[in-house]
Amino acid sequence: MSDQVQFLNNLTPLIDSGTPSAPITVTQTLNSLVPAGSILAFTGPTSVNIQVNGPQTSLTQSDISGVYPAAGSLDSPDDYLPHIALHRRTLPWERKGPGGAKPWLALLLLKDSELKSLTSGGPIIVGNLPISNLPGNLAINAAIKENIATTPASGVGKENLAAQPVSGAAKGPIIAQPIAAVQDHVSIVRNGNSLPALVTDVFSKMNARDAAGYASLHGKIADTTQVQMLYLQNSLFTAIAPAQNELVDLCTVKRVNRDNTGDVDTAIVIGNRLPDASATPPELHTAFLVSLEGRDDAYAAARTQQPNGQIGLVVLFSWSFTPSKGGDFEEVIRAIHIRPNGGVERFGNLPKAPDAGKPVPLSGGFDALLDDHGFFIDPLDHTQAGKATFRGPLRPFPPPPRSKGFAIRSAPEEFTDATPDTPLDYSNATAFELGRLLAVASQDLLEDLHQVRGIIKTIDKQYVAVNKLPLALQKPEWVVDPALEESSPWEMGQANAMTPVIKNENQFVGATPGDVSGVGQQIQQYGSQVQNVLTTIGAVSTVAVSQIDINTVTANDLNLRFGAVAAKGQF
Amino acid sequence: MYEQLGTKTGVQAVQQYRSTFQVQAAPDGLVFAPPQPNNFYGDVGIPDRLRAYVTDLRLLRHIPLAYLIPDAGLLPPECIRFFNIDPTWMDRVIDGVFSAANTGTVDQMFGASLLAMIRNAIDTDLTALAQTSAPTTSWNGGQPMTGMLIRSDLVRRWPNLIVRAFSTAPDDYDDIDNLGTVGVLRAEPISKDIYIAVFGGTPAMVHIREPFTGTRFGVEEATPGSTTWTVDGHNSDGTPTHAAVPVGVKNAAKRTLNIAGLATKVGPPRMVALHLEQNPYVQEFKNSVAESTGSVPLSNFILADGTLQAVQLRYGRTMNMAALQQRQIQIDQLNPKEKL
Repeated sequence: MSDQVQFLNNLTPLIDSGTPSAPITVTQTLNSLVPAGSILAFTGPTSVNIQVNGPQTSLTQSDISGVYPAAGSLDSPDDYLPHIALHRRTLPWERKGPGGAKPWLALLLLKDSELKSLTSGGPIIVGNLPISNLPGNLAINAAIKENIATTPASGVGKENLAAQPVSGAAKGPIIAQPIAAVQDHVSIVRNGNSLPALVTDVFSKMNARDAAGYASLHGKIADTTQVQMLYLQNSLFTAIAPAQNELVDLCTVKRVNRDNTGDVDTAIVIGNRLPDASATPPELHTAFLVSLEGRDDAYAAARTQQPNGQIGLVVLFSWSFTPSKGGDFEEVIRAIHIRPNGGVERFGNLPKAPDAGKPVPLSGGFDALLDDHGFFIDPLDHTQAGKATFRGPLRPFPPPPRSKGFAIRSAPEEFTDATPDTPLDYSNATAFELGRLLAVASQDLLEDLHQVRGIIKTIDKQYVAVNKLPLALQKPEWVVDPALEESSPWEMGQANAMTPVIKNENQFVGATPGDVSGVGQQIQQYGSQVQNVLTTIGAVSTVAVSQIDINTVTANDLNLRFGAVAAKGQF
Repeated sequence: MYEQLGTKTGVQAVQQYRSTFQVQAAPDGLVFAPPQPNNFYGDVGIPDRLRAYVTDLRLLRHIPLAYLIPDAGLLPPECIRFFNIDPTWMDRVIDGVFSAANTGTVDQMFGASLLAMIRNAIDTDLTALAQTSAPTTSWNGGQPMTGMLIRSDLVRRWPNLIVRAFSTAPDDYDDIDNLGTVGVLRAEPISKDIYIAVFGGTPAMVHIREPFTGTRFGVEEATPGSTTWTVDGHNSDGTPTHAAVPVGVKNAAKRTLNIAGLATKVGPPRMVALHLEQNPYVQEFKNSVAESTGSVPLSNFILADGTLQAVQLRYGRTMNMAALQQRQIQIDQLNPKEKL
């Protein structure tokens, strides 16, 4: 069974992060073994205070489960929203955001141009000035210089640039711009001061650029805390940030029910802005996870009334990516079958119909480069004599059965005496030479090739019986014949059955009399035949052949039977 | 002085051994059939590195692309091609690899006597490889192999796309896990925009699936190029309603969505997330579909009034055909006589 996924509205902790410590009442009971008034009696407080301090001004990689689009990616579709997944499942609801409501996190998406063009207090036309009165140190662009050179000064008016008011705290550089209707005057413009949108500094510095925001956070973040701040013009923030009532809809919890490991919860913060891949090439985008903790000021009317003012936001995490306009997976793969795209076809076919009146070379009603066997219909250019042909290993149709042969030399020699009309198929010869060249090109392969070894066949001994006789009583030849073992002698049919010579202990020691040498058995089988032969040839048998009972035989008996033989053996 | 053990010289012995191999001149070189079974060797020992290399060769690895695609027309831009693999061609490559170690007749005969066992060893490895992706497959390494080439932006943007192959291609099925599978022996990009898959057997159906990249949230353009967005409707238990739910725009220039408006339509935050979630797309290719539908001209989608017909996608979306039309115009300008 596969994983199941659920989305939850939120996971709100019982105690918010950063709130003053909360008491927990503790009840302790000592059992009756402790006598009253004992020094072991517990006299401490009955409650303890705890405080939760979750992440507030920054996140580390370990806090983050994942981001989408991936940082540095170049091809995420522009209709997918960025989002960040957090291991700490309660994080978005651990603090209070604007209006005292939860969550307190938002994901903002900014294009690179929006970050670079952040200015403060401008541009503002601070006055008009006759060209003749332009200060020498004023930045004048080339068009104005040309205008100055060709337009006579009329001496109309004169204004004191230094006395002109400049709104906003920051004062940017002054430039002169031509006035279309008045050729001998220029407008003096003070641009907004270029200020970095991203600043890493102590928190107290926020006061200089966003006093209202600083006031909202004062007391929540220490002035000396190092924070990364994102400064946006109020107008831009209002345009791209989620509305205050949308914050709650953009935070969720993803719960994955896993068979073996139980539930895994991940908090997710989703952006509300789609990437813009319309530029060529598409712009770099950066997603910012920002804190809106206590930021009632962010959605106050004052922000909209001062569109050129700035709002500062504490950035907990950010990553950059470049979106793509190329459609999503479905659109790209579905478009393949529409020409001029190449289509979904059999190998060798072309994405077009054959010329009028021409047959279909392969299949599907398409024109083709290959024939049924995978050879080029129109031979490729080559320098070989004759009609050399080639095909690779890829074929339009199932190939002939696999050859059972092995090549030990490539073909060209064999083509030498071929008849003129024989197509010189270099395909397999090419393959052979390719393999040879691949091996020769690699010292490692050559070294390994010399390590290839045949493994000699070994007899796999499988013991079918174990002789329990003492070694002293076993004959060396009483082993299983490997040849017989391979042919499974124990399974011989009745017609070929023979009495095994090898005895086990029951037939041997336990039997009375025991047939140590197998002579008794042989006498039974062949004794009469032997006797007949001996009689036929006139041999004299003085003593009838009989067997010895090994269990009862004595030295005296042996002496009686074999005394003469033993005596002969002593000389 | 030791007596010689036999009456034959070494050359005679090798010559006699060689005669059992039935060496013949074939159109593509000298081939032979080694005696079976091998009376001397029970198995062959191949260093792991070499064994992996030659097994990879059977999967078309290490083969220069020009040998697989001798002409660019065989793999035009934005295409998918299904092919069969010639086993003899691949065996010849491996024969060539092992020939590199032979320095003389004796070497050659010694090596030749092992080639059959080497071929069997590679087949065994391929069989095991097939069973890792298709445990119930009955295919073995000695049987035909097929494959698929993709040349597309798809590969550049989703290089870890997922390929699955099935032995049946039913019109409808409840649980894909119940379908018989065909082993995917290899599935990987081989260049920035070319992807190859090799199958153990001939699949009746192939799936190309958008890779799993965790959860994704997004919207769909209601019409190409518009700023009207939709999401796929869901019931509260997560089942799709197959009805598009429009998503309003808060600031069209900035491409911000009216999330509050969506929440009003669909419900609390979990329903907002459920509606914005984008599931991976799976494209099916079945052998029961007529080949001719694999490539159709753009003109099929141009209506009588000259406008482009909408190609429907999931969730009521339509394909953006304008880019295709623009590319067709460029091609027509470059090759006025070539009509695709």
